[in-house]
Amino acid sequence: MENKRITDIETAEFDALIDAFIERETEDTGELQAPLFYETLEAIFQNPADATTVELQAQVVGSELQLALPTSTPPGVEVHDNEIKVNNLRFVIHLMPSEMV
Amino acid sequence: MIILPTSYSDAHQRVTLKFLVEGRQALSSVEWKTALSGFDMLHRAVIKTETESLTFRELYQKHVDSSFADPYIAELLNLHDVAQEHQAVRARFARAIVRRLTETEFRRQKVRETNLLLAYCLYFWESFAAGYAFEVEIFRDLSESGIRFKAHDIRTRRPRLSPYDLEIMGLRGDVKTSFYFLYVGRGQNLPNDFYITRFYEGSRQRTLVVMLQLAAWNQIDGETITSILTEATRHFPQPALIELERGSVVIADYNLWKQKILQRQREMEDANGE
Repeated sequence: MENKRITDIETAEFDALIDAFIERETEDTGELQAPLFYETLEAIFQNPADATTVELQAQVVGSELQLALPTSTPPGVEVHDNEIKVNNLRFVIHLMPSEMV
Repeated sequence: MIILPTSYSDAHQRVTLKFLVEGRQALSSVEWKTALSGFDMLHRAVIKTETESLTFRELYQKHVDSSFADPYIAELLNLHDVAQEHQAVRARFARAIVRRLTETEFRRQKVRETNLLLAYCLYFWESFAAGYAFEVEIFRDLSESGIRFKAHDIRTRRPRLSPYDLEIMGLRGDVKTSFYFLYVGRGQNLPNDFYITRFYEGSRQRTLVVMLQLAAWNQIDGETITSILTEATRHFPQPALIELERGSVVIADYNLWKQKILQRQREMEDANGE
């Protein structure tokens, strides 16, 4: 099953899997293990994280935007030409002629 | 045809499959965050048949909740020993839901996207079923212990959705499986005065606790010992005062909390000459 998606599984095979799930799940009372419960409570009572601002510099080169990061940036943030990558999220910015906006 | 929200990714599918195959305990907190955000996104997934178009949330409401929730609660309330007997009832209802979906045009053999619909419906059903079995178990135990409390009526949908489950001495409380707090963990507040919950310590031992806001504990009165969260139960039966970033809570052993409530209620009765 590793790396399989739910939609990769044939419906008949999935029905059998669901039957086993029902059997096991109904034995479960919906409780967490203590470490996960404590971690969850701790998170509930944490102050919301402050928003972090990263100021980018930009110029138009040809028909595309060229972005640059300041020298000091938080980990996980990368910039390449017209792309901004934050961890697993990638933003690609395309300039549009004003009549199309 | 099923239309999934664009934000619903392969990562959501994989972690949900892990939950289905390996069970709740197999997922880490990070995996749970992914799984729960995936289930939230699936509320907006759309299933289209020749005759209708429904979001998964609408389908669940129309074909699962409205048909199965009230009868399930009615059966729970008729059980002699809810803790021991509810599993068989839950399994029977879950299988009936699968059958219902399979008999309708929503679950199409050969359309593997309908696997997601089945996973979605069963996940929300099981959360509902486990939560109310626990609630009935606690309500019965409180009654048998002689505690006076006012509980919401769980037999029908509207009162079931009340903002709190029970009221004791003017304090508003909820009975929640510990799994519930994973949802709250995503940026919400805990608005009620106390929460009766249960979690595993080790693979077998289930610990019943009451988590109270500090003001609510002060109303019951009693000494506490200051502790860090992860060691709260080590001090039992002495209640633990836990200081957290956004406030303090008291975590008390459920039986000790009941004793203190009973004592306070008797004192109040004596004072009122009842």
